[in-house]
Amino acid sequence: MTETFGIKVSQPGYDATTAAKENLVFSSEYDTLKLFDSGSGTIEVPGDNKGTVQITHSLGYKPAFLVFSDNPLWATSGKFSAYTWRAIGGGLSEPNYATDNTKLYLTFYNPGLDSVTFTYHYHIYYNKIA
Amino acid sequence: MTFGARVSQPGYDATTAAVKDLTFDSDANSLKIWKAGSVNISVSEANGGAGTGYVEVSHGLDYPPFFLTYFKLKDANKIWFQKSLDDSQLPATYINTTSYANNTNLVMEITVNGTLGAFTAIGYYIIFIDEAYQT
Repeated sequence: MTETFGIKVSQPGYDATTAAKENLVFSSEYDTLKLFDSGSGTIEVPGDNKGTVQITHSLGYKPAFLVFSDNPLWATSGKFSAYTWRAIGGGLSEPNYATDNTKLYLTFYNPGLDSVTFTYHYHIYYNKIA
Repeated sequence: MTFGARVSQPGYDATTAAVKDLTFDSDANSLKIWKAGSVNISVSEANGGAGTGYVEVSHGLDYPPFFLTYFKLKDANKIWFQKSLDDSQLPATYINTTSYANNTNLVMEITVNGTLGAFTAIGYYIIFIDEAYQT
């Protein structure tokens, strides 16, 4: 006889033993994002230049991650977005983010004349992407 | 009488901690991974114009799910978050990687401009059971 074990937590109004997966708050049958590290910082990027922040994770594989940063060239700072873009040689001040087996790389481009400061928040998860 | 389970972060009392200081709270939904994997994306030659490639990943959920995507040039070492790729290895004048989900598929696509040959990239995805939006 094969027995199955696990934990299910249903949303209010649903029976955890019969609820569809969409109506569960948690099920040990499905993996979740598990936070490894998070942090914040700033980087000043000179005009017509780029700057890269390197964050060591040393996980030995490429982990899932999310990064939010503001764009000081927007009319109002303090707006944080996960949006990335790369218009090479364009006039856009945008970030992009990458990882390898040891580090997270956050690169910020400043096509303007004046130095600007970017603020970023990163979240690295134990979950392996590659 | 209320029932539930709470697990707190180190240094917090699970019975009194704020939800933000819990690692699990049965009263708060958790993102649940439905499917994760990778696909090859063949991008056509860009002969002074646009090279494009896209792949559909069937998810079978009947609604647009929450997802995360990353892209990597096939022989590169770094993976890139959503809308970028390594421009130090790709001599394009414009690179755009886009992902979106509908009721049946997660679509991952790449557009490059410039003069460069066809190439292959790898799209990595995590699709969650949770809907991208709540109606």
